[in-house]
Amino acid sequence: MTSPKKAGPPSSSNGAAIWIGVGAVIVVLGLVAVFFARGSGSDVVEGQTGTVAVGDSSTTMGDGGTGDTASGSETSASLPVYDATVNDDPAVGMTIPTVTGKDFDGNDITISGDDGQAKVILFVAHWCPHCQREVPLLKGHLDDNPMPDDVELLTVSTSVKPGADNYPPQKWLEGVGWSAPVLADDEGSSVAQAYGLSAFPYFVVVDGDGKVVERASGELTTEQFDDAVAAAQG
Amino acid sequence: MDKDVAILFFALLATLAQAVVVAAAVLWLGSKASTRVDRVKQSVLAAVGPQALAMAAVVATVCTLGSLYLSEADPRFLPCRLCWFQRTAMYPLVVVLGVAAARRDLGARLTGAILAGIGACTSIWHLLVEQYPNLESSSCDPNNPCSFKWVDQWGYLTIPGMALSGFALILVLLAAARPAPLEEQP
Repeated sequence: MTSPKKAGPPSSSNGAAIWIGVGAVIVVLGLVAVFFARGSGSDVVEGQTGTVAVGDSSTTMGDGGTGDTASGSETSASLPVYDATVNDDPAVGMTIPTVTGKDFDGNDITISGDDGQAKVILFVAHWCPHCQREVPLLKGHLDDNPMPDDVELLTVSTSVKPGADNYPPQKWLEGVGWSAPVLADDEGSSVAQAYGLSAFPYFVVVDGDGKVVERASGELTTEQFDDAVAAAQG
Repeated sequence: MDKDVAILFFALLATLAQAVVVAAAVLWLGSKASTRVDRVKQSVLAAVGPQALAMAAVVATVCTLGSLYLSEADPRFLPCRLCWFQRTAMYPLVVVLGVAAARRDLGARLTGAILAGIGACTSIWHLLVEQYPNLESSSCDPNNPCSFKWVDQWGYLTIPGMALSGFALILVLLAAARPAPLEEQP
């Protein structure tokens, strides 16, 4: 059995000089950080999140709904959390929750199932790298293949994180040239929760009766997006 | 401590670590080609080698404290799955290298190098996931995806980049660790 090899003590003059040098460099770097980071904090931009109202709409529940049918008009329920691994999405056939909020400029926006309009609702987070790829992809695709008149494309900007990549989302979406209406979700991501979001980007495809046709999460190819639009048309 | 000051400080430390690692690599490669560079390398090793184990312990400690600061103090960045793997490699290094430095036990270099190597490999994978998010998934976990960059200093330095800098410096210091000259030994 061999005894452990011995390293030197840190008390030698050479060693002391090295440690003093290391300490001095760390102190200098600390001072540099204090000097240059002053006032560089990320500012919160107004209007990137808003106040939203979820539900409170007179809509008819689909097969997946659990509301009280005796009254004849019911409050739309939140959609169950989307599970991409389950083949039969329990949300299919459910009426989407009605949500009311504002866009980045303060204009009112309502997403509802009782407007008779088929729609594709896209949920995005400005910091999500997959959304950062998907939005420009769809933008380029829609430039050449606009949405059909009978299907509306709506966007929900949610999970806003000041200081994170691409903040503020308004600047990001405008920079991409995204022209679809954008509802600014609140700080608690109430709209995303009401729609059962489990991952970004997130698509909810709705038919003209306001019922969920299908949901998807993750990046879609342009072909898959076209299929979603066709599914909304019925 | 102000969050932005702390992040810039950590980024500067990581950059310093990268500079040392690059200098060490240049010195090592140069020593193969030039006897003059080899002499420089030997003199650097003679000066730094006896302190290298303790320096590696300090680097691991600073990395650990920085990691804990980012998740537990003001920034409260939520560690993702890959972050936890890197923490699992870095945190024990404080004890392994700290004890080894106190006992001047160069035999602990292998254990330290294995841990640092595992951590470095995880950091590289994490950097790739940040750069190519589809490597792991086509979607973002709303809570905390590994592809999300909590910090993006100077457009290239993210938290796994800082971790990789720390692991790499620890590996270099472990490689440089030498016993002290006989007259300096107790």
